[in-house]
Amino acid sequence: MARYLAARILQGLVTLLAVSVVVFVLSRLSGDPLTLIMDPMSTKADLARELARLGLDRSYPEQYAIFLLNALHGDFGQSIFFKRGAFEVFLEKLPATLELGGTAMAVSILIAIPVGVLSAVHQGGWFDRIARLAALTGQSAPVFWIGLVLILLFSVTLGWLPTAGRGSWRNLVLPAITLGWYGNAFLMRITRSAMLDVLDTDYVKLARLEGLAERRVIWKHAFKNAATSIVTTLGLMSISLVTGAVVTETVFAWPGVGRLTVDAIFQRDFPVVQAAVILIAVMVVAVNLAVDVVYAWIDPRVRFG
Amino acid sequence: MPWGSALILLAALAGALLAPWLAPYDPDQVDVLHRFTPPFWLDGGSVEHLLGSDDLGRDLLSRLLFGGRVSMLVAVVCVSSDAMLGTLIGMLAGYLGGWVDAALMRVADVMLALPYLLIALVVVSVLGASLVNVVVIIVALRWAGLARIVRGETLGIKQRDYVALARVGGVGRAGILLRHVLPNVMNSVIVVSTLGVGTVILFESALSFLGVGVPPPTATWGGMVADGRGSIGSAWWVSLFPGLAITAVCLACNLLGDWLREVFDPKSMRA
Repeated sequence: MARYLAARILQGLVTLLAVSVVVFVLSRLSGDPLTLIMDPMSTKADLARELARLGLDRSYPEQYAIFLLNALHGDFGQSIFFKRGAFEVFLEKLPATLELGGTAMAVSILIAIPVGVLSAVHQGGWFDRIARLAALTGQSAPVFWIGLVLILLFSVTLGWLPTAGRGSWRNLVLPAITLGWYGNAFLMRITRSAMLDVLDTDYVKLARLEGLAERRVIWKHAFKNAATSIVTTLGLMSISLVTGAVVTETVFAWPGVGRLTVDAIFQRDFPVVQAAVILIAVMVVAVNLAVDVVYAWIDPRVRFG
Repeated sequence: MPWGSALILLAALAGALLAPWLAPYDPDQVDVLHRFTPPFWLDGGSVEHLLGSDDLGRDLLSRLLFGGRVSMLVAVVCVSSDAMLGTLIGMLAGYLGGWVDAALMRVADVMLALPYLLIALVVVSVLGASLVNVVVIIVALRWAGLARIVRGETLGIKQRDYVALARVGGVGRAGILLRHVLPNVMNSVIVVSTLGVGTVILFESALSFLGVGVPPPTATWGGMVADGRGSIGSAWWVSLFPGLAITAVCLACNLLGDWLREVFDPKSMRA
């Protein structure tokens, strides 16, 4: 178990290192950062002093080391747009995204897992067919368009829910459904196929022969064993939630880190972009690590292997 | 065979290929006197603009046809490039093993764990939005999934007797990979690639929607949905039709991919 987790942690760190290199290289490609922060009237001497202060006169490997060290201390530089620390700006917007992502994830789990299990149990029946087609359609529709269609239906036509912003629970409904949409379809399909595999095994057949109630066979015997694939899927979903959040927050003007990143890109506010991309990658890696721990805990083959 | 899906894909492909001949208008032709014309079956609509017009009075049907070209082109180029790259890397990793395998698969793991839309956003914002950049980024971010699957299958094929015999018979590495491994991994490559078409179309449209895809005024389906965002309350058709087009094409690819998967291999790829 320790060996397995050590390997996972190492891989997470390598991923983060890769992201930091990509961001660093791009930040140097995006043009001279000094042109953005310096007074156009400054002299050559001013420039040289500023270059030395920011460490931009050193070699690229040295610059990268400084960048990494600063990042570890939560220092991503000053936001050009907000005139404050980029890290601070990111932290301010984080709760909104966690609220949205958490709700979307909860909605997905509550809907997709029961539907996936029922679908597998009644394989080939009408419930299964409708659920599968719905899931496939869900996976095929673009998230941003689903958001707009929901706005058209529930805000414009019916007038039930607000179109944008954050505040009461009413603001949360449409964005959470939109963000949960894709993950829902994905999770339902994985749950179904994992359950089908397990329902086909001898111990489930044996449990049935022993005369256990069908309900008990499905949830106690089969579902427990299908859970490993489902948990892994939840980790993968965290990546698609990040992607979805960028788009969903743009559609609903939700004041979270996804919209912050998109805005920062258009405002050429590179310190904020750097901070956002690296910190979001940290979150994705952390969620995946948590999933690996849960995975090891459920599956004895991993725990003792 | 899911005929409906095949028909939708054929229609979309034909529409994209024949756009210059089928489209009633130049897709970028602005006509401010006929802004937000509704589709022909609604009050105020006319057969001159069958699906209506957008905020600049551009004909939606024409833009839909031309927009399909971008989606199809990006999908075909990206998916075939990723198929080649993923198959090559997967076969090399699986067959050569050792440090080559370890190195390639670590890179693949990193690629799979990246928040890819964010990376794409940053890259495009720095290098500039263009068709080529969009394609390069999608290809670079997507090969790893297929490479992992192909590697797994290659590991199995490597143990087979016919591969051992070929090796004893003096067939070189390249010969074995091309003649014995490649034909046996093709099924998975085809299934994964078919399913990938939908994903790539969704990804490209998301980039266009966010404004970092193929730049305007070129019509793209994702960009068209974005164009209609501000007028969703009054002129819903501007966003609705391109979104329907994306959904229909992706759904057709997914249904076709699922069908192929069952035909080729009913058991092994279900997860």
